[in-house]
Amino acid sequence: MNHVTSRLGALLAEELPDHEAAAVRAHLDSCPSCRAEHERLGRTWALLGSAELPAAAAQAPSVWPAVRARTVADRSHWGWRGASWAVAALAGGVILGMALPGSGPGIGVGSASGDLTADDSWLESTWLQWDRTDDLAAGWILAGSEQSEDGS
Amino acid sequence: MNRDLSDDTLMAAVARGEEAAFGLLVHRWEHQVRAFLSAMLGNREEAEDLTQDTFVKVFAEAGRYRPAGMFRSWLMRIAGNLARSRLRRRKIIGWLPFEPGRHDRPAGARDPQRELEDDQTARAVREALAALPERQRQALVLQRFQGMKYREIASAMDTTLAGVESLIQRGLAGLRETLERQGVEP
Repeated sequence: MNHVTSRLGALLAEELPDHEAAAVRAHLDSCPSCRAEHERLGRTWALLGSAELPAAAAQAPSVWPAVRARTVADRSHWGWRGASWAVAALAGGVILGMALPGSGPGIGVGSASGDLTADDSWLESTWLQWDRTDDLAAGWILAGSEQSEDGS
Repeated sequence: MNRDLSDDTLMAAVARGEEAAFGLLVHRWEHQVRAFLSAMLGNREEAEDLTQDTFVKVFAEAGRYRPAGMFRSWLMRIAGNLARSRLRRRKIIGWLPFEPGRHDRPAGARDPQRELEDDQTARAVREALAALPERQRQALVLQRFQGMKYREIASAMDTTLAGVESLIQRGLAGLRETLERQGVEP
């Protein structure tokens, strides 16, 4: 077997398949040069493992408040965007309602709030469809409600 | 929210904008991200900034995350890219050390002389690590400090298993040479 110095890191990391690790170890038994290199790299490997990361890194305050402020708490933009979508959808629904046969003025928002007749069911489905497609805005609304419930 | 939920499940919730899920993910992983960035950058303030940036990026990219049980790799990939970008920007390859580790441990917990020697050795190792090429350092830090398997490291670093093996092998050899030059007996 050729020298195995290029596999010693993987051996130390226990990343070699069993049969390869066995072959490398067998070579080390018979090759003083590779064995010496293995011992030196092994000591370096152990030193690296003992070079603890600064405990301060683990004891530092959580980044969550700052991250939250930069992401989920910054809802003003999304709230405005969601409101824009709502206004657009409402306007579109009213226009469609006036254009369709059997629908007349006056359905509008009142119908969408649940006071629907059989002929108005299309409008309800329009609202529901919009609600499903605007996942992003819906998600933010949901997140807002969960936040208040969690008290976080 | 159930704290036992998998990372993939939480990420799906984050993609829907659920704050509780995102908070859980941040608390679950922030220490590892901070430790990784600390080892990569050697500077506490920068590590702290980039830990924040990493999670902001996670939030922004949540919709693109593909659940495959490899969240840690994906997370460390983001953190690694940010770290390398920062290193390139400041054009400093050298190590900006943290305060010596003795300030991080309870006073009187260990023999002072032994503690000093350990701190000096740990500092020498960190400095030797900082002197390595970035990708070798990254691979070694992910393996040795984060306990990641080669498969995870390959995913985090966008390379192959053979690539990871090579990076770690060369990194380890480079580390040993630097330590020997510094008079630290490996």
